[in-house]
Amino acid sequence: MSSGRRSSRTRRAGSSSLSSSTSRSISEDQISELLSKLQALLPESQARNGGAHRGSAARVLQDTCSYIRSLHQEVDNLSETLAELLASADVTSDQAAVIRSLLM
Amino acid sequence: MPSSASADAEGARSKRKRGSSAACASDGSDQQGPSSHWLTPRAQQAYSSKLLQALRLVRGGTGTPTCSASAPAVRDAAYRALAVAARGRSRWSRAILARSRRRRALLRARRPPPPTPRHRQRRHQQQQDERPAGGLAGRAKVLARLVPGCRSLSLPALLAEVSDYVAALEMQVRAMGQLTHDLASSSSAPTTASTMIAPP
Repeated sequence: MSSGRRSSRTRRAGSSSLSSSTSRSISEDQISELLSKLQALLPESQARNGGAHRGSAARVLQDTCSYIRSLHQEVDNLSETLAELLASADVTSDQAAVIRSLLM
Repeated sequence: MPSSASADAEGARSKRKRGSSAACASDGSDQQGPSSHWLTPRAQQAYSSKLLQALRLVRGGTGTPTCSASAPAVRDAAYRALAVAARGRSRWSRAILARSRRRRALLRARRPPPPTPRHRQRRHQQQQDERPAGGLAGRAKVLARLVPGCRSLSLPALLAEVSDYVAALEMQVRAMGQLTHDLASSSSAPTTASTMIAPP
């Protein structure tokens, strides 16, 4: 199993490098477009408009890492809160119906 | 419940596409829609209903109420519901579904449960600390580890997956926050909950 996984990983790495080497110009255009879309999603980097092209790309990636980590932390916190609510108060069918009506 | 879950799983299986750069390019073009799709209120409502179903399964699955309402179980259910809502169109959703299938297989095969995902996250964090992010490639590697199933992707494909994943995570946080608020209000004061109007 482990050997199979390792070989598959190496194959994927090889294929990705081949694809990147064959289409460098197209990939650069794609990267710039995708970076701009990603930057639009980030709340912090919108205020940081203006800067070097390479620096802005690195900052976008770093800000994206921080943003994903903060979102993961929020999901963890909300999961703990939901777990406490589910444990403390048993959700009856009436409350489930209330939640359904609220959500719909 | 299980029939719908199996149907979703079958949908995810049928939509699986393993290919080279062509598949990555098509994934990139296809994901322009899904990233905007996560912003619609319909997507959030659909996710909320799926999350509620998953939470009921989590509660009903294990016998002990305290074990069933544990935070890791709720988080896993939330991510599984998110992956199901994505309908297997993106690599990260397929990776989450595959991970849950592996865990179920392990549970069926062995009685002792696998290690909790918190340990795995800690290991990843340690690895990230060991390797400081140098240039663009280094930061791309760190970013690839944060998104499920995207470690071996090229940079354009990774960026497309990340955009979709961030939009999905934002929707998940909104839906879980609203669900937490509704549960808290319904448990504390049922009369006010009945009279409450659903916020937009």
